[in-house]
Amino acid sequence: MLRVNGLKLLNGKEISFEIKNGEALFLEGANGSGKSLLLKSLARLIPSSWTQVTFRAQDISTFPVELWRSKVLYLPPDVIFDPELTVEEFLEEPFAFSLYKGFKKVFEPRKYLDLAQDQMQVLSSGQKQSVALLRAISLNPDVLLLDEPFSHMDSQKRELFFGLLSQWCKDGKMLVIVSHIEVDLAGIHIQKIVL
Amino acid sequence: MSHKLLSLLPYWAGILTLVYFFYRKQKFLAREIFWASFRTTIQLIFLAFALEVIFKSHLMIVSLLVTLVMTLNSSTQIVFRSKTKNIRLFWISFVANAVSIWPIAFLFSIDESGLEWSEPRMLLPLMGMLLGNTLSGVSIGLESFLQTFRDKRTEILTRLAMGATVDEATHKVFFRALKAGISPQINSMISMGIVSIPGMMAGQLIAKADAFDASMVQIKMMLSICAGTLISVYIALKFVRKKMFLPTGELCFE
Repeated sequence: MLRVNGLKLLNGKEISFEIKNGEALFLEGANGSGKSLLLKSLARLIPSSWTQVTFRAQDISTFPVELWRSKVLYLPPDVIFDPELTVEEFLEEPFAFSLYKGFKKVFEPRKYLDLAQDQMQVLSSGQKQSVALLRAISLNPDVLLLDEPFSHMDSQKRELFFGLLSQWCKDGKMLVIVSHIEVDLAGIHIQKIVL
Repeated sequence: MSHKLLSLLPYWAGILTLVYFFYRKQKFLAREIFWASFRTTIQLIFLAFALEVIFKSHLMIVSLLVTLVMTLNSSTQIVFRSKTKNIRLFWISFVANAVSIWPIAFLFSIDESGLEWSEPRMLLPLMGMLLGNTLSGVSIGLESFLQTFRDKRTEILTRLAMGATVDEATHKVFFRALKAGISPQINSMISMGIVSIPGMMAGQLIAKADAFDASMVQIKMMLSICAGTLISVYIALKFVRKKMFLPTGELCFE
């Protein structure tokens, strides 16, 4: 369970919520309402303060920041990468980080990829989003913070990821999603917060 | 004294002729040439007067005080050249220069002058050469880092989000900036002796010094400048990178 109490964002808003294992949380609100700020703050990427944040009954302050980010993983809306990277290199890039030394992969992203090109920069926007989302899942976080993850995907790709993420939640993981596209996670309990 | 100043006349006549010629075509450029020539003349004449006074002293404290003033000036120049004003660039540059340049200059001076190493006449010219050459390296390195950091902020954030340490997330940006800072020095070293004869060596040769001796001093100077620039840029970048993050690891907002 992820319990957030009094998370104060840079825009002054204060948010509290909790997500149980296997649940999803949708963040709604107008542009500029602080949805992305909340995700980045929760991932400890930007300055914020909180009364108490616990993950599986353990206080946020007890986690080294890198470990926290790998457990509560934020995926930004724009897929930014080194233009010289191949898809394979892009998928493998995070495994070079010291945190993933000896990491056992439990998810094979290549199973869901059917790409004619192998250079990241020639992929379409939707394909880039798919590869980035698959890479995030392959890092096996406990909570995924997704910021407009489906905005460039076609309906077929979206359906694939709705299924994947539903199954992912059923395995006891948690999701926080910001999306202007309707997300259908069959069989998953979904909370909504309006900012 | 006056005949020495008069010896500058032919050189000034040449510059003024060029300024006159270009003034009709490009007023701004002509004014810039005139202003730069005027400043360099006045500054070096004042420097000569100042050095005359300073060199009369043999005290280490005088050397150290002037070194301190020169380092503070160098840091001011780095801040002046930078587009970023919200980070404590002045102190960062000062510490980076002091930590890297001072020991190198001291060692160089001991090697060249032995027991007289700390005398202003021995130490200050070396300090000036080293600080002057390092200044542009630090300036270029810092500017490159800050600019690339701004441009690649989302890329850095993406890496951090996946669990990268600050070092891992900024590795490329950091070393690109380090390379930018040291590149002018590397290029200068590669062309040295083939394309160019450096000012210091040319000065010694004109003063009829032995060519081999002049070359040895120049080699030591080039290696010292290279080492000083590299260490100085590296330290400055380490400090600036630290300033981009909170102590708890979050990215600071711009």
